[in-house]
Amino acid sequence: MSRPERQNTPQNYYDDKEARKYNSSSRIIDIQSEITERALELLALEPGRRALILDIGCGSGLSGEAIEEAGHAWIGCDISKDMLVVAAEKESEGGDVLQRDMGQGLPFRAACFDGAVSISALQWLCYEDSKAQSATARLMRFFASLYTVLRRGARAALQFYPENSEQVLLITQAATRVGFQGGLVVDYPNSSKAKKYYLCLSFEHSYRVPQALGREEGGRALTSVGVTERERVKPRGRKKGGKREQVKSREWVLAKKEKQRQKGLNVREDSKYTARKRKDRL
Amino acid sequence: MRLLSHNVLRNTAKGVVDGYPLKIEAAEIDVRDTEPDLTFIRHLLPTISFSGLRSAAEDLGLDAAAFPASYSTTLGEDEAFLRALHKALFDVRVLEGSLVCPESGRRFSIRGGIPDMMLTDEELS
Repeated sequence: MSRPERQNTPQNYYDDKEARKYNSSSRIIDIQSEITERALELLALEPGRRALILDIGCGSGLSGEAIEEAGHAWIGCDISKDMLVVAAEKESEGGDVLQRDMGQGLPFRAACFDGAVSISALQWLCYEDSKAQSATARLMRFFASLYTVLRRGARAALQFYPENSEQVLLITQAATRVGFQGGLVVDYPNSSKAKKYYLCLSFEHSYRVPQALGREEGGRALTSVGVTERERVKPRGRKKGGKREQVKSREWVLAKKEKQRQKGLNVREDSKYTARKRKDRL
Repeated sequence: MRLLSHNVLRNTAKGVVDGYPLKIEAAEIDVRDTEPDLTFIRHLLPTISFSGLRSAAEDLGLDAAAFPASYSTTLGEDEAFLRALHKALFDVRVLEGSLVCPESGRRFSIRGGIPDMMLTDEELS
């Protein structure tokens, strides 16, 4: 599937038809609310307290529904009028929307929000849709305004789909240049489907990004995306005793299951039956 | 648009210093009662701009005198006041009309409850 960012500008891509399609696809609804829940978790808000959240690129309000479900109030902005019309039709109790291109900076007073989330929107800033505005200028304007509208002590968790490592670098550099601390959390880095990038930002100098999901030796924060070295394939030869190693031994099965768990797949628990040989039948 | 959103919104166009508070010219308003969460309103108190709130109340013909000119720590104890504040911030919605920048006079239209805060390329700094 080709990237929508390559096809058109966001306000033209998400027209009325696309907005309704987007809002009625149960697959998209599930993914969006799951990502939003994770983003809220990464914000590490004070538990049990209602907060005012800024939703950047709120679209048709799918993320807003998840924010409300988590018990918070939100204000969302998006560039696509058609998406916002769908959001406004929901008449949400705790949310409100306005039309704004985040690349123009956020139009709010200083220190208003307890936290900011953004779901699948940030990558749009990397594509230059008008000659007058460079991607860097738009990113800088966005992050500089985000820095001012957040309350001291607030955090931001911005999930995005980078097309390549240059985009990741472009985005993280803009964020650090305006003074944010933080970095990337990459959930399920071994899976092509479940892999998600979250840019976690804070004002605290001692801020360490939260642990990523689906990663074996704890969440290592990435500020740039490296290529993991391929493990050398060991030849499956004879063991010392002269007996050939079993092809699908219990260890092999357990290792494979572990790998699938890291990808975020639904894998059965290990038990005494795992990889046990079946009875020989007639 | 809720008044909570109006309370935090400002015009950030080139050459505008504060761009706050935006004057509301309302053509259609809707008031719908919602259940107040007083702990949340108390939490919001220090963030609310009372000058912005009073200006919005005046523009909409609400009782602006019900709100103080500035924040003080004793406000959180007055439950009746917190309820009035909740009503103003969450229950009153501007559906049609415009927002006008007090400095430049730039108009931002509100259609279907959605303020159009988009700037042109010339307005960007």
